[in-house]
Amino acid sequence: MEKRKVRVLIADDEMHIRSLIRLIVTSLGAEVVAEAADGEQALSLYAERRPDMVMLDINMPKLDGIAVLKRIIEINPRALVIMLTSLNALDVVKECIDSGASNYLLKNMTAEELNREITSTWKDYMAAIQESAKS
Amino acid sequence: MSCNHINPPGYHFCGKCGETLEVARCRCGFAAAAGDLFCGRCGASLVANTGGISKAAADTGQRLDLELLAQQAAEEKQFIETTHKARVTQDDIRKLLAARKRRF
Repeated sequence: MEKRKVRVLIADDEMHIRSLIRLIVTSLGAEVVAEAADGEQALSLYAERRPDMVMLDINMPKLDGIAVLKRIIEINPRALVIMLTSLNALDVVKECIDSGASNYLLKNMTAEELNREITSTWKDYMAAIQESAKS
Repeated sequence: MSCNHINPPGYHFCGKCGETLEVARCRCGFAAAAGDLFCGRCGASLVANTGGISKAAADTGQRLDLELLAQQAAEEKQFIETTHKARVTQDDIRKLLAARKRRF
């Protein structure tokens, strides 16, 4: 990852999943600036902390991850949101990608695969940002 | 019925004497056997529905059955569509993302 610490918001209603993601993203040199246990909290923390990246679950109390994603993209169309969920229904995946998710990761992958996916998503995101700044 | 012939289930008329058989027609369209108290298809009480039916009524019931079957088929189709949604793997998702590369 980049030298500047990437600021991450983790939104997942399961504490052990949040802990696992925290371990992974901090091992990549990123900084977890906030953690949310439900959709409403995720939105509020996003607005408050403006993280560089959001790791977002879908099945969450109060507001589901798809609604949170759409609202975040409304707030910041360039937001980097990675969905991390066990839902593997094609229509859900398509809806998230169409709504602006930068990646969609299934929870059944290994920590190593997660590391790789998060890193490559971040790199792609930064490359696209730099490319759009040039043009 | 006067001849006391025992007819198999589903018969609207006696196979021996041709007399209209008494059947209990459930609201769901199922023709239960005479004397049944509950519908063999949906379990609804047949007490209010019990009674003899004419051939015309049987025909009407037959039409209702077809409508019901069509409705059930539509419901089953919807059920299959909602419960057997296409599932994807991480590789499928990568392909989808590559195809719909997000414009930052």
